[in-house]
Amino acid sequence: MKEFDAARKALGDGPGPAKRAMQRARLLRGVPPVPSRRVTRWALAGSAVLVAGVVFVLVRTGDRVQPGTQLTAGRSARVLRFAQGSVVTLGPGSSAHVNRLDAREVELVLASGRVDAEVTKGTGRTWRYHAGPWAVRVVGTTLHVQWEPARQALEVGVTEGAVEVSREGQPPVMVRAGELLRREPEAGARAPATPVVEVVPGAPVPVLVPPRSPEPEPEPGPRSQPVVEGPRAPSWRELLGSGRRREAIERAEADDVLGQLNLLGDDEALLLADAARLEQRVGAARKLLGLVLLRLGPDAAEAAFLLGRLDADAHAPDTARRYFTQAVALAPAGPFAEQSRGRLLEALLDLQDVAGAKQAARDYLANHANGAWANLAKKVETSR
Amino acid sequence: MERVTVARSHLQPVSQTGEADLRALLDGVGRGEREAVGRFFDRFEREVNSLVWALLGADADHEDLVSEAFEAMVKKASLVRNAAATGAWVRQVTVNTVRMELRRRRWRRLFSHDEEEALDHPDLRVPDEAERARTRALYRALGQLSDHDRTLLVLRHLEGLELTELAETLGSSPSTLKRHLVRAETRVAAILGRSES
Repeated sequence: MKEFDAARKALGDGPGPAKRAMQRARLLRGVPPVPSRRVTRWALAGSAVLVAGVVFVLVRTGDRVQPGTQLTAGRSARVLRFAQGSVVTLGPGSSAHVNRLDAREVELVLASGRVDAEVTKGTGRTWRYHAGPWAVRVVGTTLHVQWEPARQALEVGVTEGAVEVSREGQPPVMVRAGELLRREPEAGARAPATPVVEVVPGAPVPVLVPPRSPEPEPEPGPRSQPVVEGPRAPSWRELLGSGRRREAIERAEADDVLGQLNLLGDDEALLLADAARLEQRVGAARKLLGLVLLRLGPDAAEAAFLLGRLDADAHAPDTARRYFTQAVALAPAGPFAEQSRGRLLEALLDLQDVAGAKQAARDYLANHANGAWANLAKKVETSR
Repeated sequence: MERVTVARSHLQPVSQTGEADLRALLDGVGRGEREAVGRFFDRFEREVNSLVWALLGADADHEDLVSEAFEAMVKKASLVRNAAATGAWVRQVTVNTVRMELRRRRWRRLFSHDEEEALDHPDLRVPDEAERARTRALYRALGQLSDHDRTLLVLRHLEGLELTELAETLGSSPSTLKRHLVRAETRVAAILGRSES
């Protein structure tokens, strides 16, 4: 059919090398990186290396740890040695899982029990521990975190360096070397709203009590059993990694990921935003892209461009115009620059901003003389 | 009816060594190894890009669909039993991904009445305006067919697949597809004839 002959000519060879390189990068962004070195697991087998008061002999078993790995310690502590020399010890009967593990960040969720950590300084890697509603952020220090979910009791002790302990709705608290933070609900008692340093009899260090929220404390539930290995619901990252996009979004919403955006890296936010866009969850996509844009990192221009597209699709040319302008400003020669300039021109035409459209047309032609919007830009530039 | 044959060099026949390499590659992808996923992309991106480009008509959402297709393949790589048939499998997954998108768009058009235009991709260069207009008309006509018929016509006349390859990709017999092809060609010619007059 001759129509197909014309189409074959018109279609050409497909997207250019820059777009293909972006496709590759986008695909690899969704693949969790392998840790730079193996994390070795050492198990009890006899006599003595002293770690945090527990005596045991270490036999190398060489397990690989990656995001999603569930970690449990039985009657003996479990020691993990990370790349760059950091050491994490999971106390006996404790349970945690690895939420994130890459060159920039390690994130462990302590389900129950205790973790001791010696984190190497100067690596640029951030360590985060989550215990219930609490987040402990660490950059190079020696500390322990203890969490009892049944009593909602948290303890953070710092031997060297400093950590930041936070919870949504409360200002973060710094805990410095020699300090011990203890957070326990007391039946019927309400602590003062400002932090109080109390000296606990017998404790070698002052006790810093973080401010309490004004809401009544939850009733302590029944004492929980130690977490043992068993099925758990997959995280949104795991769901996304296995292509279950809709479930990933629903999981992220159920976990209130959008309410704790500061816990997401740019890569994760863009991944989740992609999934939200493709699942037509425009509100979630906007929130995630807004986060990436606000951080002004290397992906900010892409986030601005995608936000502009969302607004253009929603027939909101004024906000679309602002985002496309921002995308161009952030990366005037970047991979999204041509589309941003072209779509900016369209938005200005929708707004009937003749002067703005002419300027945008000139800018487009100066940078992309043979681009997809070149014909439109020429018409606008020469029109009265 | 003129038949056009296009030489397709994206996929090479698989030798025994090649089959072993593909097996190792699929296993690496199935284990989520970044290096293997990268090599998988490098090996098959031409085919995937070509299929999506032709099926959607150089659409602005091209990158999203390529991404979806590769994600689906990475997820299912460990399930491929016959490594020698990886090329055909790649084609099947890609075509199915695009067909799902076409179905979604059909539902969206019911509510939004927005027309979708082909040749929307920023990398596309079509200096001949008449050629651009005819191609857009073709894709508008294809948009009025079922996803199956649209896919059939594009794979046959733009991608140059033989009937046996079409049958393998679409999961149907060559004789059935031959009948569907004639039906689809007649329909699209009628739509284009009506729009020209």
